[in-house]
This record gives sequence, structure tokens and C-alpha cells, in this order.
Amino acid sequence: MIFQTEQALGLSLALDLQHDYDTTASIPVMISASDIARAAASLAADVVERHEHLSVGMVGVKHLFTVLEATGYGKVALEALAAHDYPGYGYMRNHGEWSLWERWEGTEWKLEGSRNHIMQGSPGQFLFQKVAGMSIARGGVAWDRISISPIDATDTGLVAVDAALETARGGVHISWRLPRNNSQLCGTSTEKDDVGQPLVLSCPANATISAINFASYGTPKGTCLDPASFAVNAACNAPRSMTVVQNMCLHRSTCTLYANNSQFGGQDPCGGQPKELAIVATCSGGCIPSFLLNTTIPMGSTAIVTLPRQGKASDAVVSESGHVIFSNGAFIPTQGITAVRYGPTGAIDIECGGGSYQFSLCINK
Amino acid sequence: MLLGQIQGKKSFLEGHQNLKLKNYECRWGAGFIDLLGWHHRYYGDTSILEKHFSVAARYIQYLSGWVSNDTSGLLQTNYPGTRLGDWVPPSGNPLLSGGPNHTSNVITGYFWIRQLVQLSRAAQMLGNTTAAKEYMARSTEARKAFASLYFDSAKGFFRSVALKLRVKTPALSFSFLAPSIFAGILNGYHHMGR
Repeated sequence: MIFQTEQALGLSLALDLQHDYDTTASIPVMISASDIARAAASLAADVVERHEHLSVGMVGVKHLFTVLEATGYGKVALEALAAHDYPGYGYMRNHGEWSLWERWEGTEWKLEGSRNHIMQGSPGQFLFQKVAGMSIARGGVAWDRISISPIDATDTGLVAVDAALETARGGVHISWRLPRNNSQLCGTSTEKDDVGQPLVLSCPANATISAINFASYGTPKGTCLDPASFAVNAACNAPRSMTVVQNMCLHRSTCTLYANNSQFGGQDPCGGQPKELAIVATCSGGCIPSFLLNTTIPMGSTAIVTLPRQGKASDAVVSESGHVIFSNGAFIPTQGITAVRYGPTGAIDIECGGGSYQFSLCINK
Repeated sequence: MLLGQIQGKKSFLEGHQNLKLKNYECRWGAGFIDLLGWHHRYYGDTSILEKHFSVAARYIQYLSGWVSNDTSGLLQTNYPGTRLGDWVPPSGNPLLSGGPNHTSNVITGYFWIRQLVQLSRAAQMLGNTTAAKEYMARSTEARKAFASLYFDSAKGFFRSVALKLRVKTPALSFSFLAPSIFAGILNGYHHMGR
């Protein structure tokens, strides 16, 4: 039997994870790399055997997730954070709670300890530093040098994060997401008055719309959260829906349509009913983004933004606000950005000053 | 006074009857030094380090009186203080249900080492390189002892023996608190340490 708290604290010491200062002298080896790997494997196995549940109290919980992520078990850490039954944060949430409890136990009817209590909430630091990815860089003080480095969420089920922190130098914001279907566009628009709301479809840079997978002006069923769910409602569907959309959009990088009768043949497919335009399309060519990151760095600070490696590192193309800043391994100078290069693991490191940035990473096929 | 000048537990304690932090187990008192480091880290206020460093060093002096000779720099596991181990783990866990508190020694060792490292870096920030080196050397010695005592190389995991300890304050790190709240908490610790 192992105790998660002991593994978390021991590994935190061995990995020197808990210091926040730059150090001039390297920390001596406490246990070997192979022993660190064994202890980490034991810890991760224990969490998995407990069905992604914790055995820690307020001391161990601060270190558990950080240690798992640092030793290659980020997926286990995220699954443990998301556990929705006892003992875990989802258990509190499922009991209608919006604050943290002092203890893992309790129900909405029977309180164990106090509520709105930070006691088990120390993984908030893990969420900001590792999952969102914002921290003070080594050697920095008071957010003068910032590291933006999101967790590698590949195969974790985590697809988007948004986090903001007010620091001594101003607000730091980070929002990143993994596009679900990199090449697919999906949009809906509702009929309004005689004009209708415009629906704009736009492919990434250098790509064009190669197929219309679904198009219906009427009362289609489905949602863009799951584009494959769309289906035509035969009782209300403009017969020229697909033809009109194909004529307007195919082989173009962008197109705009309106949800109204005149756009789709001039006849109302089902008079008196509110109608909707739904389109699912596919882009081809160009470089389809696999990771999107928006961030704001306080003026006066500098930052290193790390985009996680996606696919073959040498084929990475990085854009900022639609302009290519890194391609074929070379930095293309842009205002506010001082360097872009491959890091030692194939991730992309971007050096920038204060400001707001919209980075996208794609891999040339 | 540097740590190297400390002469034995009894004579050291004689001068520290009023140090209220000594009523608290290591993890409780550790909050003082952690907050000191975090405040500087996140807000860049060196005056906070200057104001509180001497009391923090005095607290480490006090704890040093309880360092065991036979564990090469780690705190004794039975030094005074209220002990509860890893506080409020899930019920049904042996940690809470009256069984052996296996986490106590690892927690004590961890926070002792952590305080030495934090204070070393605080000293470095204040330009006191001699103290910085001495605290860091103590932490290095203690880390070796920690691995020797608590890492089971045959089984490949950390484990310790039964004792109860009490711990608190790990949730306050990062920039979630306003500087004024940090400063207020540090003042409270400062007065306990006088």
C-alpha cells in the first residue's frame, strides 16, 4: 500500500518542483531518474486503481497533480481533477455546490466542515500554471518575465481552457483550444425580418472550401457541437439549399450567405415558421490549425509562449493574427515578437513583449 | 546568528521561550517563510524580505534545535507541536481513522527542507550570500537524509513510519491574494515569532 501524499511530497522534493526562484546552483540528485520514474508510476497506478480518486488531504493535494504532470502522467492528473464522485471536486459540484468544501465528505443536507473553504483548493495553482500554462519564468520576479506554456492535452479529452489573472503588472490572459475537426467549418444562422442574419464561412490561410457536407434552409435538426448530427427536416427545407450553398462557397476561401427566402429561391419552404440556415463544409489545402492560443501579456513584461509540439516538428507553421511568423524553421520578423524557434522537444518557443496575440499552429502536410 | 553558531538544543532553546511559532508543528510555521518568499516572488517587494527575514531566520534557529543527530540534518519526528498529519484526507483512510499516521515523517521532512531552501533564496535576494550558502547546504544534507530514510529503493516508492503531525497553509501560494493580505498575514507570523 502506498500513500499518495508521501509520493507527491517525495517526488516534489526529488524533482525540485516547489521552488519558485531561479537558482544559480543546480540541486543535487536526491534519487535517480529511474527511481523517480518508479515512484511516479506507483503514484499514477494508485490513482488509477482508485478509479481516478484521491487519498490525500490538504497537504498532499497541492502537490499531487503537479507531480503527476511533471512525470508524464498529465492525463491521470486531469482525470483525477475531473472525477465526479467521492472523493473529488465533481462530488461537491454534483451536490449543487459552487464553492470548495473543507472536507471531501458531506452532502447538501449534511455538512462536514465548512464550505467556501480553500482547504482542498490548492490545485488552483496547478490549473493556472500547468493546465492554462501561465507562470513567472525562471529568473523573473513580479511577472516581469512570463512563461505561457499550456499542458499537452493530447488524448486527454480537454479541448479548451480560458484563464485570467490580475498580476502586479496588469492582467495576464490565456485562452487555448484544440480544434475538434481541423478542416471542418460549421455555422448556423436564423431568419430575421426580410434580410436574415449573415452566415460567414472562412477557411484558414491558403485553404479553400472543397465540399459542402450539409446545407439546409428551413428547420434542420442538429448542432455544430456535433456537425454530424445535422439532418434535413423534409417538412421544411428549401429544395435549392445545397445548390445555392455550393454555388456560393465551393472553391472559395470565404463566403457569406443570408438566412432568408430570397437567398434560397424566393419561396418560403414553410410559411409562418421561424427558419434557420445550417451549413457544414470542409476546407482543403493550406495549413489547417491544430492548436490555437490567444494571450495578453502586460505592457512592460516579456514572455516566452510555448506552443506544444503537434506532429512532425519540422513542418510547423505559426501565424499571429493571420500573418505567418514562422515557417520552414525560420522566424519571419513581426512587430512585438523578437524570436520564434524550436525548443529542445520540438515545441515552438515564441519570445514577445507586452500586448495581445492570436497564435495558431498548423502542420504542413 | 548563522546556523553554524548554534550550540546544542538545550542552550539554544533557553533563549527562545517567547517564540510563539514554536507552539506550531513545522508545517504551520512554514507558512511564514513560504509567504515571505511568495510575496517577493509575485509582487517584487524586497522590503517585505528585509522586514521579516530576521524573525524567519530565528524560527529556523528554533527548529534547528530539534534536528536529530542520527538523521543527518532532518527534524526529529517528536519535536513539540500539535500533529494531525495530512489534514482531512477522505474518511475511511487509515490516515484519519486512528491507524498509523504514515505520512507524518515525510511531511515534517519535506517542510523542513522546503523552509531551508526558501530562506536560502530569501538571503540571496538580500545579498547575504554567506547565509544563503549555509541554508542551502543544510537543505542539501537534509534531502540526502530524506531519500535515505523515506525512499524504499526495493519497492520503488516513498514511505515512512507512524506519527501524527499537523499541517496547514499550502493553499495560499500563487498570486491569488492581494499584496495587503499577504503583508497582513506575514505581520501576524512576525509577531508570533518575536
